[in-house]
Amino acid sequence: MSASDWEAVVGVEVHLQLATESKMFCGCPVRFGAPPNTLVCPVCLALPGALPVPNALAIRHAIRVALALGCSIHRESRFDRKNYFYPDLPKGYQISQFDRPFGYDGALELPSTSAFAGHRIRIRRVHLEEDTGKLIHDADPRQSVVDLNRAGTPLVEIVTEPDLRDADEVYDYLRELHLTLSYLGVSDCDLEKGSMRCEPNVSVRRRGATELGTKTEVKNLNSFRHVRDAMRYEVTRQIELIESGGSVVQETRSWNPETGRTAAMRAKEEAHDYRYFPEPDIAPITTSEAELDAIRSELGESPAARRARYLETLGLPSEHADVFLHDPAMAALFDATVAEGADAKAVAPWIVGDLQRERNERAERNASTDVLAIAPASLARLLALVADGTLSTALAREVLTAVLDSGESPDRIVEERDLAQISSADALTPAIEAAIEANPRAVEDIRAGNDKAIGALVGHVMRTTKGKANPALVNQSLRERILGA
Amino acid sequence: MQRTDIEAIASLARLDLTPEQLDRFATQFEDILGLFRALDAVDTTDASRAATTERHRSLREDRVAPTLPLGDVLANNPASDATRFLVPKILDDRAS
Repeated sequence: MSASDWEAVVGVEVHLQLATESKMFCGCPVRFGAPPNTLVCPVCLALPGALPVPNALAIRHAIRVALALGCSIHRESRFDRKNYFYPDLPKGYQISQFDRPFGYDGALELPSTSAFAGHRIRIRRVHLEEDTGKLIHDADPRQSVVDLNRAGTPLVEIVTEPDLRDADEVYDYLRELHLTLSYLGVSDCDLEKGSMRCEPNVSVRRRGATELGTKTEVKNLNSFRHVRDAMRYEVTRQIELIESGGSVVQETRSWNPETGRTAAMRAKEEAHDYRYFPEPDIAPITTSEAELDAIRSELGESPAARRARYLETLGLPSEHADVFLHDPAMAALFDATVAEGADAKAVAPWIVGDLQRERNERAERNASTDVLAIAPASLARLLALVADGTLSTALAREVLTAVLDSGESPDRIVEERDLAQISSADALTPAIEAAIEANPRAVEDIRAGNDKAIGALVGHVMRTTKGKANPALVNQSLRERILGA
Repeated sequence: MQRTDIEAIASLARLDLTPEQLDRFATQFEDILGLFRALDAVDTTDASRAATTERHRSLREDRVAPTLPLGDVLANNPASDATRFLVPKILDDRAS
């Protein structure tokens, strides 16, 4: 059998660290990089008698994520204890959610820019839980050290159905999920800091089979590219294993980006049995319709809706739309400039091209100007001056720089610097006459049919008008004057 | 309740039970489950599970509260370096 006789079946779990000031069940600060064990209290240390009290903001954030992913919301949600022993888990159980997560039955559609456009990846559940502490293994050959600063940090877990079939599809799903989550303002979504962690469950089956194969879970993936590479490796490994007569063992495997392989983590002595039961220290969380409406009203435009607006309603090319989708500050300026009446397709290249260039140049010389703070009305006015022929594109760039430097309006700068393009034939007449007089040879050539010779005359006019002449008008006037046409 | 059930639960709880204890716990577990079966027989169709707790629903606003001094954090710990807990070396093998 060849690889094409097989099909990969993948579900993805994503853990997202929420951007709260304090932990999930206690008031300890959530902060990255603090000295070890300085952000702990009796609750997150599991000292006897300490009681957890849920963080209301974390709950709102979790519901926000669930709604953004099209989930239904359990109006009565519940926390459960997931029991297991591990040194980074002081209580001997993790407070998580089992059968009443905040969100269930959602979906995320892959964007029109993906090779898997329109694929709906079903979201099985969105639940809230607490993070564990951090175990560091490489400090000592015989001992591990434990830092509990992270213990109790609020995490949202987003679990898909096993709907993904291809490593690139997984990659596109994660990118769209990341974009969607980053719009919600509930997390910094930083993969390198571990704020967003992805764990694919990978299995393979013969094409056409309906039963699922045995899955492995891959960990230690801190970039979407690693997820893609690890999945490719894991799919090939499983196919080869089965074809050579072996069978896949359900286990957790760790990705090694240096070798490009996954390796089994320590073999399990027994199947996991977490003995979930309802957390007796926390009452069920009820969410009213009014609370849901309030969260819904704060959701704002989703990336999918924004993409559709830019590509379909405004007709932007996808490279411009993509820049705006990933750069909220640029998108805000774009939207505001269009709201000032500017033409969307004309504005986009000015922001993506010219303003971005100004931004880079200023960053290079450590200038503090925020080019995106330009008044949308000024940018719209600048474009209007180009559209009505007052400014050539080259002069408009000069005006843009001056607007950014001085904060003056484009009209003021055009007036101060006397930059308005000469767009009346009468005003151009002296310069046209002078050019003809100075270039008798070129005039002869044009009369003889050598059209290219007009370049010299146009250049002459542009020089004498310091670049302010409208080139199209110069061209036309010269022809009329020389050829009488 | 089978003796093997008790063995499995004891193993998950990291308890080492003698054969006599296993038998005794099996009987006791059976008694406890009997009491729960009696509770299960009560008709609770009209009672919300949350009825008794709803009035006590309490959440906290996202506000930072004082943490413990490091000395207190490590005070009861059998092994630590200056700032961290020390535990026997094990590798991460959890499913999630």
